[in-house]
Amino acid sequence: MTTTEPITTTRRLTGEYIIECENVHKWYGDFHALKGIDLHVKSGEVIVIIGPSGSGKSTFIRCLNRLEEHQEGEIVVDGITLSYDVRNIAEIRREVGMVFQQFNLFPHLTVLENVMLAPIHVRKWSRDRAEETAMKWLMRVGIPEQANKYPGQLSGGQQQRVAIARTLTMEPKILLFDEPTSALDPEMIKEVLDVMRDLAGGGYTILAVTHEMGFAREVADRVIFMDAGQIVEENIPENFFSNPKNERTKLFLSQILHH
Amino acid sequence: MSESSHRPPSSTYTTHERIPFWRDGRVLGVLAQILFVIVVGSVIYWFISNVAANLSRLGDSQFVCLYGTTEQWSYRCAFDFLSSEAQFDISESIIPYRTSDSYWQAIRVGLLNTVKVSFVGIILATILGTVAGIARLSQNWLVRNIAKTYIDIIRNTPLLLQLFFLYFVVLLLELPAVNAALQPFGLPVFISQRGVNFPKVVTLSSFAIWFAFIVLALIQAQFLWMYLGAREEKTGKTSSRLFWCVLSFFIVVGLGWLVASSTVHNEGFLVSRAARVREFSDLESLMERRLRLDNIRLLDEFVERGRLSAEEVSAAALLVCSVQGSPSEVNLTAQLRAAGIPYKVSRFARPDQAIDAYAEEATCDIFVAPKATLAAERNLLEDSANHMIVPVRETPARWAVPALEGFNFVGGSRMSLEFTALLVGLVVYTAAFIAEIVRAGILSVGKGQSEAARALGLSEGQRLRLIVLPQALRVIIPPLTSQYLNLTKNSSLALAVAYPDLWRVMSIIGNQSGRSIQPIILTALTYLTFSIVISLFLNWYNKRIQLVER
Repeated sequence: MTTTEPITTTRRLTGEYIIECENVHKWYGDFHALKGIDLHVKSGEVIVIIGPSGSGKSTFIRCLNRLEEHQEGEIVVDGITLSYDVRNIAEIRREVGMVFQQFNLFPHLTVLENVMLAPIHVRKWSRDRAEETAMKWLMRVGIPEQANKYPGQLSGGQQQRVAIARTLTMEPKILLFDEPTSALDPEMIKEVLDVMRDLAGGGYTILAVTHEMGFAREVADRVIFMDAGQIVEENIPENFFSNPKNERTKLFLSQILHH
Repeated sequence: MSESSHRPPSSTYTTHERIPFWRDGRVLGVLAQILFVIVVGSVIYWFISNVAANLSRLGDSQFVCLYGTTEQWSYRCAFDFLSSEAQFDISESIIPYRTSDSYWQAIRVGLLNTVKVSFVGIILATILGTVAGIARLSQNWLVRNIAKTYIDIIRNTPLLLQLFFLYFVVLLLELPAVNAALQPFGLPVFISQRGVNFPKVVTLSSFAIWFAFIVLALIQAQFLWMYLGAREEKTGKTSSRLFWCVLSFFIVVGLGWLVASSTVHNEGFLVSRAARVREFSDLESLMERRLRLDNIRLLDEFVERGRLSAEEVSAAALLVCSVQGSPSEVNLTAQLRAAGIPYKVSRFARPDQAIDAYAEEATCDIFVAPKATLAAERNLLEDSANHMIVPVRETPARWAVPALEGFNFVGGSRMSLEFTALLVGLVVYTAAFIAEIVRAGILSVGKGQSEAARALGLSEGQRLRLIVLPQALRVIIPPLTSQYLNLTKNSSLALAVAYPDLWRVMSIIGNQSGRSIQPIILTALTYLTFSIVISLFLNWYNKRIQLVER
């Protein structure tokens, strides 16, 4: 792909890449948070994004479902260009699921209601179908018996698994994980990572921001290192961890691995 | 397990070290309790003995009276004086009231006036407060700061001052006289020193049929909604459910309107046979004869060209007699206006007064009322055979629009200036507090909740309705309850703008009868009842929406 090709906003590519980002810039006031991100993701690819805090990793994946607006460049997700067109945004959000650091379950709804809410109101499924699918996913993440409890009655790890089930019940093609284990106690991290490992082989396109290097090494097709709003280095995990090329990457890896 | 034998120590356990009692938390707790009971007890004692002393000084005139045939002094007849004649006037009332009615009736009038202003006030304050609270969080600088200024000014000045300002400065001084009434945005609403006149809906006898159709329409729309929903599920295709349901609702309601107007014929007017009017359209020919016109539709053109003077038209106008405020009059005059027939209405308090006026031909050409009334009243006429009842088409409901006649508005409804001042004052004041409560409620719902809702693809409306509002409400409801109570209790400031609410009526009764304790007791009990009812309702609601934690 040549970068000199003029970028048109109506282009709908048929398939090689499910996510295409070209020269994406974002500013918060004067602060330049993203400085020209180029990234192409194939359907079914699992990508782990790592980097020091403030490097723009979260900002970047939040741009992919328009929780943040990018100000320059182009993002095409599943053939749809992200712009101010609210219909496009709605369409993309139906196909892109997101799991947050703080779970963000709806505390006034039961676990089951949390999971069924979006399929009923966004996908317009019947209650029966929504409930059936919801229970299937709650089973998959291993907590069907908690279905009628409220989020406040669950542990952090259980809450995050509910959040994952809630996202998956919408049957998205793309999953975004924004530091899903950072708010968890150590013994709960494993139960969430197990679920994520399970999903990684399931045909989803996954972009995960995480500090779990073991997870990255094990399941990622590609590891991306971001610093100061730019992609500094990307590689397959074996090469990335054993033979980092960039000085900044080396420093970062040495700090977290020998820690 | 060895742990199971380990019980919590009883309160009488001994420590190795003796603590001096002035440092012993347990002893200090008991001492504080005893001290508190003494303080509360002495305040209550002082209060009761004070009231008893004052009562015995005021003696027979206040709380005791001569009871029964034994002529014993007793408190059992303390409230009996309320059955005697009130003898004072009350400027506005939603139930019938005359000065010869009892004090009890006067209290009822005041009570209903308080309920009226509180009820309307609570609804409007909630709406204004919610809007202002949301505006306060707006992204728009101007909207946000207008809301902020409003809230800051209102919250930091006393309500009584605001009421005085509103009533004496804004309303009494600034409002025009009745013949120059303000008409905001060209709406049929007239604001003047006489108050606010606005249209109201009057219903005729066919309304019952139309109402049945409205209920029917609601039921069928509900069924259609369910049917389309089931079909959507089966076929997996979305249809515009809302559109079809609303459309079918309006079709049935429209059909009901036609059916009701064509099946019920209860309306009519009484007219002399000499006028040769057999149906409504004959009124047009009657006027054409009077004005010597070929067609009544040409009237405006003739007046414009000066071939007919306004005086001539006025002299020839159809004289209509009616019972004041009757729907029959509204129904007929609307049709007269539509037909272009000039008319004048004379209104009477009772049908028999109207028929007397009708008997003297100079006052009325026709007398409009329901047919049954007309038939009964016609018998009072000496030459009843010479008068016939002509049917008038009726619709289920009509707008009664206020119109200036002489020095007053007729038709429609009126809010007095006192009511308006109090209502506006209470609403503006309470809404400022509600706005802050709403803002706090919305802010209490974390940003993550909205992000999760958006990420799941919920629309902005769904996000507010399903996620933000249900969570904000549980924070909003408890303080909102106390604002509702405040509004209700603050309505007693009606005294300042002379609106006859419960407290104003009670204080008049106190002054006039010389008994001050009874009105105060009754007033206190009434406000207490209001407060308890509002609290019970909102507590019940609050319990329903409370969050379940572990």
